[in-house]
Amino acid sequence: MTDKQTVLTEAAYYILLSLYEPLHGYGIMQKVAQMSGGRVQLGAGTLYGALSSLVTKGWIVEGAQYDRKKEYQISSLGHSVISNETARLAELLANGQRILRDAVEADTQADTEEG
Amino acid sequence: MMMFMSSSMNAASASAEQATQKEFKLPKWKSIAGEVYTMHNWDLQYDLLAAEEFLNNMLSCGWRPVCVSRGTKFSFVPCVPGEYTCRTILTVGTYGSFDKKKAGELAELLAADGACIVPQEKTWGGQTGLIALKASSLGSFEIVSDLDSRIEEYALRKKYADSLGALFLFVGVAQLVAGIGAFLSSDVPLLTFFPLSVIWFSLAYYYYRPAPRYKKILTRLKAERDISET
Repeated sequence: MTDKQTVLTEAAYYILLSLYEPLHGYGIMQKVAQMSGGRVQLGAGTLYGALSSLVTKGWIVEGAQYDRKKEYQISSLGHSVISNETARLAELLANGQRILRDAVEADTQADTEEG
Repeated sequence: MMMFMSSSMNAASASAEQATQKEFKLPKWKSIAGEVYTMHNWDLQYDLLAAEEFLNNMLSCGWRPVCVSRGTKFSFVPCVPGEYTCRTILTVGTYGSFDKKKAGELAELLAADGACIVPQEKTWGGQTGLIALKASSLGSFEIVSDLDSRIEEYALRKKYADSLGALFLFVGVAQLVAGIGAFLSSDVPLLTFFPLSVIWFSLAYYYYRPAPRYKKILTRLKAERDISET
């Protein structure tokens, strides 16, 4: 069952996003770095902990193992979680942008009236 | 340190270097075999944080660890000062036993990421942590890269230090009480039991010793998380 109130950490969010294609550990690290433009560099310990936790929650599944490297992929439950989280983030972003735009407009209007 | 080694060092870096040298003194070598220099440091036993600090100091002075034996005997070879960065991670499971799967998978991930694992041999009670080195030229190196993982890592370290410290203290006290009981009720000399208790108390001390520092770090990290979530 999906918890609609789940708030993902940045690492978990990016890991889930990267696993729409099957990837092994190092592949995930590279994909996350690439998606975030190099800003999010997952450490091996962080990735290991996150993968264990996501597998336990059933949000990702372990796939085939090649050359001792285990591949992971997002599950349908993980897909629901990331959809909900993306919607939550979109709401945050939309509200933030609206309030900031209104504030800027109010400032500009006040400046014009003063001038 | 690199600035210090370069010919174009300025007064500020020189004084910073002097300050660092005052804080960290190179250890006395126990033996030298070819390029491999070996020393003992009992203070680093069961203390991953202290070991990481010590190894980073050694690396910044131009000494790369090549092997750790019994958690106290460190072998080094010369390297360029600051060429590598050292990080450690605890590889125990929920119940404090060595987690072979975690250690293996982490070692593979670290190797894929360009880091190398410092071999550990003759570990007492099993290897409980990984010591990894990564060339500084490959960029910053963190095994646990975000705040939540760091909190998790230090919470695990503290739990490990607390529980093993308490366990050995309990065994030591039980041994001592049993010894006193045997001494009072029969002719068994107290000295038969006393040395064993001392061993248990020493183990309790060594395991528990880093716990207060882990607690301090945990408090700071949790405060950082509270601020970032406010």
